[in-house]
Amino acid sequence: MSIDIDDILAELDRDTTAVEQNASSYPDQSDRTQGNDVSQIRPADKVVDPVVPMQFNKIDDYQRLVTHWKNERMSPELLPYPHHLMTRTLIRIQERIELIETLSMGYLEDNQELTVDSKLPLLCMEAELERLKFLVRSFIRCRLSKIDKYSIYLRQQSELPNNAGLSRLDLLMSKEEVKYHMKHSDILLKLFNNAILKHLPEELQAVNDTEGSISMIDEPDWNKTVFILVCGGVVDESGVDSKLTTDDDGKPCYSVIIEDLNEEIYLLIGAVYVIRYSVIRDLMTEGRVVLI
Amino acid sequence: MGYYDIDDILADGTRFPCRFNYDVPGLGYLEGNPGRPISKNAKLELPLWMVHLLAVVGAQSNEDSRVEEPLPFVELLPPDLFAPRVLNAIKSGATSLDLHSISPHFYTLAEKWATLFSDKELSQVLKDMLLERGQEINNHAISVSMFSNCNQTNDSAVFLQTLDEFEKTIYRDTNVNCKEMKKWLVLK
Repeated sequence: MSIDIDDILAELDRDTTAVEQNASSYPDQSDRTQGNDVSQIRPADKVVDPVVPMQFNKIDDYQRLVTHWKNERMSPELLPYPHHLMTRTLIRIQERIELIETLSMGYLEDNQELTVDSKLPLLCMEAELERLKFLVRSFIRCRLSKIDKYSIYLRQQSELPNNAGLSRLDLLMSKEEVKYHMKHSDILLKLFNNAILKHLPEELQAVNDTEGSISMIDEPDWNKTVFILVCGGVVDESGVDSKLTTDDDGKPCYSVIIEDLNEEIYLLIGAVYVIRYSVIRDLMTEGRVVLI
Repeated sequence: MGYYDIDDILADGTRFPCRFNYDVPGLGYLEGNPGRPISKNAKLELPLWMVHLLAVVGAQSNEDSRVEEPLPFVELLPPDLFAPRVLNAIKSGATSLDLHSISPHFYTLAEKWATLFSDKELSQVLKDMLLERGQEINNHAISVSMFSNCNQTNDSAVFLQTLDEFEKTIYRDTNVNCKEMKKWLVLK
């Protein structure tokens, strides 16, 4: 007779990981205080602190940033800006730069410690910093190019009174992006106006005319085909994924419906699909599906 | 197909044969003799961006506009582009067809045409053609050599001459991607 003790073992495991988590949070803390000691921007840091709870893990944040970046690169529309995540990342980059500076200053002072060994961590830190900075830069550039492309559409969306909650510009974009969006479209409009539009009859002067034979507003191509990876793993309060169903073979999957064809398909966990963006948009914003 | 899409604008400039259903004064310049009225049943070639509105909108007849649908200004005649001859040629062998000589913007035009008339048969033919030609395009695009840029085989050069603009973008994208991939694998 065999007794299934997996749940008991799991209990024990959970205890140990809890301790480990506590322990691993210490270096994190000391790291922060060390960074703060040398930084002069402590007041600014404090202002942000209440908004940003500190239980977020650095590694998780990095993973999240990578996911956001990938989704942004592949999706046809401008995705909401991850405000908190970016604030945290930018603060960390700032602290890292200052930490590296102080460390390298320390190396300059006492030369006897300067060996190849002690240089390696510094080298790694710099390389890692560059990687993170590249990620952030690429992410923001990608967003800016989309803002350029859909600037009239975004402006029109933000002026609609009925969906003020979802598409408010300051939720969708960061402060700098809103500034860029406004200024850039103003400049472009001025150019169009001065070059061509002022010579046209009055009823043809609008740049956001949708009444004519072709709509002038470029909307995102909602039916763009994208590659997705179904990752699942999002659980709500009750500990289960409410959208998860099972297919005919009993494997866990999400079921989505393509409206044009009126066809239902099952997205198996861990599988890769090519699919219309409009179909999986909700799943993607909830993090159940990642674009690749 | 956006508003600022250049290929779309070029495609919209293609002329289509059509026939006028009304006598319209002052429009003679469409026929090449300005100042004269255009007569009923005159056959003209007009660009698509003009036709596609004129073929939908009708004259405002005051008497019985509600009774029946108003006759549109012009009637589109079936163009050579989508004549049964062409469709048969597509069905018989899409890969050997010289699409570029039929029209450099064949797909865009066909798509617009099919939308305008909800032509199921045409869209089916198009779909099959795109699939069939797509495989051929893929075959030619992935056979890239690393070190010499211009040693396309004669075969592939001949085939590339027959692509229309839409297919050329597909070919270019695939080819560039394959090349970059190979470069990365070989040279790092």
